[in-house]
Amino acid sequence: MSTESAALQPDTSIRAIGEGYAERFGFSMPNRSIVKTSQGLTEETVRAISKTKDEPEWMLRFRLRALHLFQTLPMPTWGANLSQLEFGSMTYYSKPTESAKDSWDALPADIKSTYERLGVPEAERKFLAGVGAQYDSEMVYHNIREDLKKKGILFSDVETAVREHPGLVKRFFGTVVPPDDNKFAALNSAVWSGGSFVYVPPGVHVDIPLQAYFRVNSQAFGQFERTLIIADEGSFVHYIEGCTAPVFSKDSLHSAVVEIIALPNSRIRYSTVQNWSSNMYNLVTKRAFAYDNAIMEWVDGNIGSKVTMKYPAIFLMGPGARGEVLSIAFAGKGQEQDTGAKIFHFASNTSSVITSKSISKDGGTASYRGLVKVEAGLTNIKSKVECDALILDPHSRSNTYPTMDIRSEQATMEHEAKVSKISEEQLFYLMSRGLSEEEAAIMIVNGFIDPLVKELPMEYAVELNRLIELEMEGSVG
Amino acid sequence: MSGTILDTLKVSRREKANDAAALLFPADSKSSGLKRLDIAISSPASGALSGAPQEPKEPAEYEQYREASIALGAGAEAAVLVRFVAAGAASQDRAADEPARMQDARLARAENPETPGSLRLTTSLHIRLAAHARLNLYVLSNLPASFSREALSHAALSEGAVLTWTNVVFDEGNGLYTTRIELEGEGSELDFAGAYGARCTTEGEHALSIHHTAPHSKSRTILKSALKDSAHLAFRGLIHVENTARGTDAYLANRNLVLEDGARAESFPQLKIETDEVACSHGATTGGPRQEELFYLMSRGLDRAAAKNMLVLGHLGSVLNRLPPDLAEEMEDIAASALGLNAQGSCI
Repeated sequence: MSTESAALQPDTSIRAIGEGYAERFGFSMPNRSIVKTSQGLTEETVRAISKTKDEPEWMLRFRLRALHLFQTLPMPTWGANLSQLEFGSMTYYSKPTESAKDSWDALPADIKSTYERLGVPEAERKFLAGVGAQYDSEMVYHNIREDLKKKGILFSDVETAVREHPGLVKRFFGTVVPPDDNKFAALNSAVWSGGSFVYVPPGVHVDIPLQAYFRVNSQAFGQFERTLIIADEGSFVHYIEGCTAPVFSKDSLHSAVVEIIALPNSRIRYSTVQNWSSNMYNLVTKRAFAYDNAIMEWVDGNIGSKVTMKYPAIFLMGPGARGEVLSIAFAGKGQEQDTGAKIFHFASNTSSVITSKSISKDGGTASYRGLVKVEAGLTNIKSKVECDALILDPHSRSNTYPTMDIRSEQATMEHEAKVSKISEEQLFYLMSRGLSEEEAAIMIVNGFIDPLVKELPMEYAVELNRLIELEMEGSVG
Repeated sequence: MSGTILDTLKVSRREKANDAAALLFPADSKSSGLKRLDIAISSPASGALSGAPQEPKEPAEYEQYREASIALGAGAEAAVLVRFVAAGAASQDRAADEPARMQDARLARAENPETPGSLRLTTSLHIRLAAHARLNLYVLSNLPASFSREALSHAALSEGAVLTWTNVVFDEGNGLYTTRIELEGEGSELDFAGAYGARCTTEGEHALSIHHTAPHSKSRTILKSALKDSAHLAFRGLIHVENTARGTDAYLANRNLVLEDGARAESFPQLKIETDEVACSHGATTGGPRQEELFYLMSRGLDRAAAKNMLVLGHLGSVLNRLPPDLAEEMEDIAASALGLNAQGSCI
């Protein structure tokens, strides 16, 4: 990282990112939505969405109450800069097709070709148990392997679940993330559309992952999917989500709510590879309840977006529950990745691990923001938090804001954080083995994020490595 | 944030200062031995409250402000002990002092409902080290529960200056301790170790910020605490490395021992790093006494309480042992009485 090369570096790397993203993910299709609300958010917008979905009365009331909360709750006073976010000029609902299909061929050509370019149908054939695909506001495709369907696994969009399994939905919907949790949870609750509903019956193991792919096609658009996953006693499921959007000049907003319930002895792994375009605000509330002896794992990769604020949370509700969060953030030019994790220990004999890695370059800001809380009177609590940050040039920033609140005598809480640049010794060693400086840097960065990549299914690991390489191209020379 | 602390200092000095002490070491002076700077605080037992406790008084009368400053000229070397002493109260002997202390607290509470059981005390300490000066600083404080204290400390280090600071606080009243250290000279070095112990319902907030603005400066900062009963510690630590401070090497640690359910340790260690050529890290651990260690000590014949006490002194020992031997011994005794380790002291 000599100073001469630093002078050359922004130019080449910006080109590399722009070209790569535009070709692979940044394309857009003509807007042929069949229902679209007008810009801005009013009670009419909410009623129109509810009417289109032909919802029961209780859901409309839920939405209207949430709208009121959204209008009264304050914007967060901490974290990333959200002052440029314009709620008034956004479109809150855009319906691309009449209904969700279970065959790619039944989709309109534009949409089908979008997912083909993103490689989703191919991935489904190869290594997924089921796929959901959301295009703007609605799930356009949902399919799950026949054998899994027969075992009683439910995998659909949330609207279908509201119609077909009202008991299950009513029992859990909005209980993990209530609408008054924060302004963006309220916004989502008011205008939510799409997202996945997953229910795994007792004792059933879904050995290969379920996947949802979220695609935004419209400009100045808000995508508000809502995901609800319930793993019944002793079951296992791995859910993966991916997301991309076209590169537009106007900012878009993605504000999801994800609610996870891991019932006793179950295990849920939720993996995200977030690669939104650089005009996207990604403000997401993700939370899981883990009951007795359940295991909840969040694997969270944040590469894209303009601003991300995301802190996957785990509430350890029953004895023996375990929570793990593994997250990586990559902040490039103009990006602010404000990510982290929250763990609440509410029961004895619970343990948690947070591993966070961040890389900032080209003036990007990566922040870790996290919380570990242990209530009084609990015994045998263990928690470990590790944050590592790499800064690749002198213009980039890294912040660490952990919070630990321990009220129990029988708790062990450890936190470690490190911020550094790529070590000269490591670079020198690799270059002495014949690698160019750029190859060496990419190898070091890949090694740095390896713990996360290892936790992803192979195809995703390859994808993530490719993305990081793409982002790194020309950054060190 | 930085502005706020400094502004507070200035305003306070102009309007409220009723006592000030200063130590100045000229350039290149090599002071031998330990210089003592005792800062006397009027004790409520012998002071304001003993008069006519029945008569309502303005809370302002119970405010005290104490200020001290230490300055070292270029190349000077010194060792200084700053001690906050409550006049008239033999606070080491807590057991004997207990009834009087409770009395004070009750009186104060009756007098001043807004700050229950406390008299307001503001202390400020300024330290300035010119180029290549070296200061070994000990700051000790164990004020009785009747004081609620706001302590402001500020240190600035010029090029090549080295500050070694041992800060031991066993104040029995609530306290807000704000310390800001600026490494503004190239190659300056800080080694800060703090010990804090509290019990009963005492609340202590320690805000410790280390600012690196010059290249190749180094800081090592640690705060260790032991908390009993329902004591509550909030630790806010910050390492801030500005864009101008390439080559910074900084470490910030917070180690809390929570001795009982109900005691609470909150820890917010933060890093704000604005350049790349750095090695910055922080660590925070909070936990109870390790069961294996307790078991080991009990297997050697100690009862549970004594074993716990030994672990507390062991935990704080790495800080207390930085003091000269006689002071270290004295502070260990003070720790034992402040934490109620010897007698099963009851809380009000």
